Amino acid sequence: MPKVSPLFLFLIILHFSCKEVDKKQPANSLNLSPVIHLQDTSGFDPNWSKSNTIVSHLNAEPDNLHPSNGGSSPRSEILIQTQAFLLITDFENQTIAPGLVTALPTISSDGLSLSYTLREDPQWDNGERLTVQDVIFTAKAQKCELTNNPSVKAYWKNIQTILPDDKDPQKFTMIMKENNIQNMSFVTSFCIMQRSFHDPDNILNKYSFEQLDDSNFHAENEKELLQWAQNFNDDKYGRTPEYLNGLGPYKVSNWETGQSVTLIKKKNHWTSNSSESRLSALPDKIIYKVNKDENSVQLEFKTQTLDVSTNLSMGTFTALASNPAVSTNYHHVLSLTYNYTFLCFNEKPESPKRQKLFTDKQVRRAFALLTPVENLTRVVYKEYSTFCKRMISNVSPLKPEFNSSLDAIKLDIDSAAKLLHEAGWRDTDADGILDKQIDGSVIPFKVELAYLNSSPDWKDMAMLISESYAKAGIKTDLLPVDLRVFLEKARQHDFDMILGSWGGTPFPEDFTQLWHSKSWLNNGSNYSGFGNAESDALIDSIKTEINSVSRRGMIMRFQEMIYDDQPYVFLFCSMRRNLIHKRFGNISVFADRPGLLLNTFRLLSTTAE
Amino acid sequence: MKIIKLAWESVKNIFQLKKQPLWIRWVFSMYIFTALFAPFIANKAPLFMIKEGNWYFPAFQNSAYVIIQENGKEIAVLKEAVNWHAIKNEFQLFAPIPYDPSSSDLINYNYVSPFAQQYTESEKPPSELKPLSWRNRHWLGTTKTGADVLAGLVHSTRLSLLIGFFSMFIASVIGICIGSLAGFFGDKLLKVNRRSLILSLILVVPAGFYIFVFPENNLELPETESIPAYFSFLKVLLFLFIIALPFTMKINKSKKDSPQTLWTIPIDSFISRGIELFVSVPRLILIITLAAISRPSAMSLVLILGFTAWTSIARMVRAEFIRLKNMGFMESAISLGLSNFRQIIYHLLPNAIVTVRVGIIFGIAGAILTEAGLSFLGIGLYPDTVSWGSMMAAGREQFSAWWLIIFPGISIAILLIMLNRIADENHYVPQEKPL
Amino acid sequence: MRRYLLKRIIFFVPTLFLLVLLSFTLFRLAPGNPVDRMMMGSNSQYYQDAGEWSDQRSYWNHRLGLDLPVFYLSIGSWEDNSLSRETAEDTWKKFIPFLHFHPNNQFHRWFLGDNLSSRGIIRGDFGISYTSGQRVSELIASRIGWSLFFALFSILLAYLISLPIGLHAAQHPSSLFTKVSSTSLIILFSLPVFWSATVLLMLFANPDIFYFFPASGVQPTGGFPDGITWIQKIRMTLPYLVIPTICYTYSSLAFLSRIFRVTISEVLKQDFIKTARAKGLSEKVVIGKHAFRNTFLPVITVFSSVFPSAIGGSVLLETIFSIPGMGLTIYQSIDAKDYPVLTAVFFLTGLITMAGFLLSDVMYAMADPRISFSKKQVS
Repeated sequence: MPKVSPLFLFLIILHFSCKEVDKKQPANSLNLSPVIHLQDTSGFDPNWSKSNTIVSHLNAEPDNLHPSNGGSSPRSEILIQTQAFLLITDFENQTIAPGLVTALPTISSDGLSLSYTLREDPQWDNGERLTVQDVIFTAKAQKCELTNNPSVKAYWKNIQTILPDDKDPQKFTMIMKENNIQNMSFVTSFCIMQRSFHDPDNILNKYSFEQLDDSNFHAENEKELLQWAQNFNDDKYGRTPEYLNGLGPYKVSNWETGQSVTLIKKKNHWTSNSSESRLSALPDKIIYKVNKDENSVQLEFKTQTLDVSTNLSMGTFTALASNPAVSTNYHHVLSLTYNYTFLCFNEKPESPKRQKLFTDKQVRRAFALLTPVENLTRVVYKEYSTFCKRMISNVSPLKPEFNSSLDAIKLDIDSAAKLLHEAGWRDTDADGILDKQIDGSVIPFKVELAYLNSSPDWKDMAMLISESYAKAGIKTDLLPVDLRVFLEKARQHDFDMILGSWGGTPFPEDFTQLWHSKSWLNNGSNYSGFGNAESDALIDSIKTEINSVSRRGMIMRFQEMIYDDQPYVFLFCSMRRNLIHKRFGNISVFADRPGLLLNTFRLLSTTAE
Repeated sequence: MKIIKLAWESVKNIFQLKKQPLWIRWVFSMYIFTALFAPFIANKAPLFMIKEGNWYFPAFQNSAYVIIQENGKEIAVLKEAVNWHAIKNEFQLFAPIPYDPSSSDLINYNYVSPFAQQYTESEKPPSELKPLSWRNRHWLGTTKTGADVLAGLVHSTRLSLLIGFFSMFIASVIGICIGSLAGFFGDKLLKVNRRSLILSLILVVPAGFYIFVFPENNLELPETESIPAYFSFLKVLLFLFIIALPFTMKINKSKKDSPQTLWTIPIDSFISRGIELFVSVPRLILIITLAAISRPSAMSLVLILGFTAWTSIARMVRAEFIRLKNMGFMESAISLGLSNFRQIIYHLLPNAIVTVRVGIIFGIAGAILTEAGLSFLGIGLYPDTVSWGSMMAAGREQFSAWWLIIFPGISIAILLIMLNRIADENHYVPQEKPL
Repeated sequence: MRRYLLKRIIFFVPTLFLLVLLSFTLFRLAPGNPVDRMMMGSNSQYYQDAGEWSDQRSYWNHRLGLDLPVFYLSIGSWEDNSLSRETAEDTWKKFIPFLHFHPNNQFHRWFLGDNLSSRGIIRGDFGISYTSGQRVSELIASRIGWSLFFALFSILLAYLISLPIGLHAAQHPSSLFTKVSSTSLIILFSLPVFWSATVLLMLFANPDIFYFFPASGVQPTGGFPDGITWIQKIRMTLPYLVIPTICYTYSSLAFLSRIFRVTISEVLKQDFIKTARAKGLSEKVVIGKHAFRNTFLPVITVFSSVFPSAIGGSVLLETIFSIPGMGLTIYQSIDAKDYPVLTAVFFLTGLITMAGFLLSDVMYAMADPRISFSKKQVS
């Protein structure tokens, strides 16, 4: 059975990669594959540090390292090293692989019970073995309404109970309430917590799964439970090294607030004798250095203070790649991805603050004509811009199901102006901004364009877009926002336009999350409000169609619908920029986040040429 | 008429340009000239054009479309989009810097140095480049998107001076009003009728209810972007008017005001404590927060800076008034029976200005510095508004683009040195440390 | 004198309360819903049901007390709006203004605590940061160190540099050194700190030009190697501090040296100095023993501003140098609209400034008997 991996969506640029791109190499050497193994080289400065320590760059600090409560993306990148999971993503093959269990679960015929068998060897730091009780504790702690994890609670709601096996202490069965495509995959994101560490008095055991689910059960009235939750939620379990407990091969030795998080390899870890490569822990120390300032990141790479980065801005990347000292010492890998950048319109403004600017299809098409996509890629990717692929519909042009009969909408200000004129937008008050009478009042065409403040690339793009719109008499107010504010605005439909990016996979897609009208209604990821009965029905049938040929036809049809409606201006496929010091070998760049598995990097000995 | 003349005299007294050395007068006038005529100095559209006998001034036309006669027919061209060089004409006059501050140039983009060769597209076959003529050269280099740095400098001079002067104008007006109130009346002189005061306090509840709460809850008002700001300002005015009503009513005057029905308001103590509270509020954090949560624009920056800078002026005015009131000429003014208003406007203020001017000019310098700092952090103005601070921030992304850091830095430093010098030719250092 | 101090302290209390009120109102009026923001885990990659969202939202609204009225008093209609809509016969009641009193409200909870979710700022509980979930008091405690260090160290350095300059200028007002130093200090004073910081980094922390100092942070990446002495630690930290210290210090030089110059030259004009000189005391003794003591007063004022400026940090400099102090925290909190942190910073800075005013007034009163406290009657 072909494995359908869930579509992971991230607003931050995901990491899909391919072959290393060197300036000297011709453009056709870009070949797309989700995994790329870099050749070990020895051409780097031999005087450089020989310590087995990786210094990795983060452009934001993790909010905490609490095993259950937290939400930032750097957090999950670090937790991969310090914690362990029932199932993990196999980056090499782009599938789900067993982690703390011996094999993928056996699933009952109705799909609701998943039976797992725990591995025998995992040991906690105090020598205790991993038991089913730890798994049950984890699930209960996540489900308990007093736990401070509102953003992930919904995934745990679907677990009805976890039954330990009577005969085999290593076995347990997870019973789900409803069938869901993610019933298996969601456990890849949640680390298992030690019951005796977080709940020494075994308080959670006194409460059943049914109680925790019951809306008439008031957890805050249970004194014991309240006390446990207050302790469990305490910030020290997410910040103080002594209280950070996990099954992973590394542990946090030091966290300098705002500066760095240092992981050191555990001595006598249960994985130390393992030959499995995904359990390997080769570097002695991993330091995550937080630096949001692009300029000093640049300086730190020039002085070789940093070893690895996967989230440089394109400006920094090109500046560093063209620096001879950096290019001899670092692999610089630029890779095509399945991610794409887009401009999203608010098709159905609900909030009274928002005008009905984009309810008309004509206007959205005019905006697509006004968007200077080629100039954007030129400014962002500079000399690499020829590698950049234009997005035309919601399916990446690199995929076989892409509908190639659709034409890219080219920059054409005059026809855009004509379309706007036909749609009733004129400059009647001669102030340089088009206006139109809507619902009895004259509305000027002022658009608020929100984008992330995380990288200067977004700002450059937004400025070019705003300049181009101004040519047709549209005033664009640029609004750089923090990721959380961005998501809040998008989900609450409190925006005119947003500039963002979606991450994709090479696998067949389920379009429900981005395009189904119900994910607009429940403040999900369908930000624009696209969708009607017809498109919803099509999405639903795409989801269940197994025959890949008729499926492809349906996806082509769906792309036409989106192309016709223009809820987005599709910009281009994003490229990811990696910089890795050559003193490390055994490097693979993976499609999925975090892109690089730092624990598999092997220090190359400089004397062994 | 006399008041206008007085106001003009005060402005002259504040800057005292005649006393300044020649270089300051020259450089200062240059800054003012640049600020006033920025659109004439740097503009993408031609300032003046003759075509088929008709005269056009495209640079000064605000509308999105410009109507042009061609072959006897009227055609509408998009003012921002059209290539003016390509329009057939008899005469075109461009600004000395033929660029807008934020217009991109995708041929000379990605940080072109002032000394580097610059290119333009040749007319003949596409995608061939030829050197840019000196007339269209980017004299001080370009930014990442190819925007002209010199055009940016010109327009940010205008922006900085506008923010500096207008915010300080607001601050001075508030500071002088409040300071003279405290300084003139002191703790003993301001008396109000007890009944008016009580009535006014009672009026707060119904007035607040019917003006703010009731319409919000019960009326479905159209909430468009332009209305609320303007509307809520009117609402506040109406509210204040109603509250102030009892003090103007005649009923109180009918009975003779006896000391029992009059309460003395220790206005000086109130204002002094209020200023103390205001001063203890961390001003920079307040400004950054307000600028970050309000709609970014030069106008809101002017308001924010203005409403947070009045305290030092109020304190100076108050101290000056207390000092002047004890001087001989005021005693004779009082004995002549001049009204309070006349005393303040004609006698106290013109004398107080001589001291307060130092505070005002340091305030202008401080406001300009704060604005630059805010735009350096990317707060307060839209990201596509070019200002000294935002140019320096752009230069920080790329140290090799030194022209983005050096030129705005020099412009702002000269302006500040000059203002500090004008304020105080002996010391030029304000009492309070800005930013 | 005692009456003055008493009055000063009695006035302190209502002003303080106003400050509390001000910091509460400012950030309560700010846009954005904290609960929504808490629930926006940035890697919530899975599909969420509408029901779960609103359940969780109302639960957290309740837990954070955001469903309570904002303040003790509110102006509203006689009958609550939502009720009167259901009972049609009472509609007239909603036209009648009424002053409502709410004993349990958000301000009360924030200020005094409710012994459940918050202990109130009066007991040092400023709530929990929206972005990191950390307790705000702990966050501030962990960040204030570097800000305090730079504030104190730079003011000390500025004092040491500007005192001799001011002294020299007071003694020899027309010497060449005075002219040169005052001009250059003015030019320094007029350079924006963020500009000079950038230029210094560009020149001296840039491998393409001079690489003398590291570009960011305050200590080696990933902490110090194990088992080194504190002297070595200081030696390793020093290069990180050079450029930031210069930027923190230089702008106050002009200001401080001017203060010293003015105070000392005023003192020098006074009779007791003339007497001392007439007694034949050497210039050194005159300056050192008599004039110098009087420079103490401005120092009080300057030092009373050190602590608030440490809490405020220097937003610009800490952002430029990535110094993990209060300024960077404030900047990040503003970016993420993390209002509990901002409220706390705002309140604490205000409190310390006011306390500083009080203290310096009291110290002035004790140090300088010439200041008279009987208020001059203005008639």
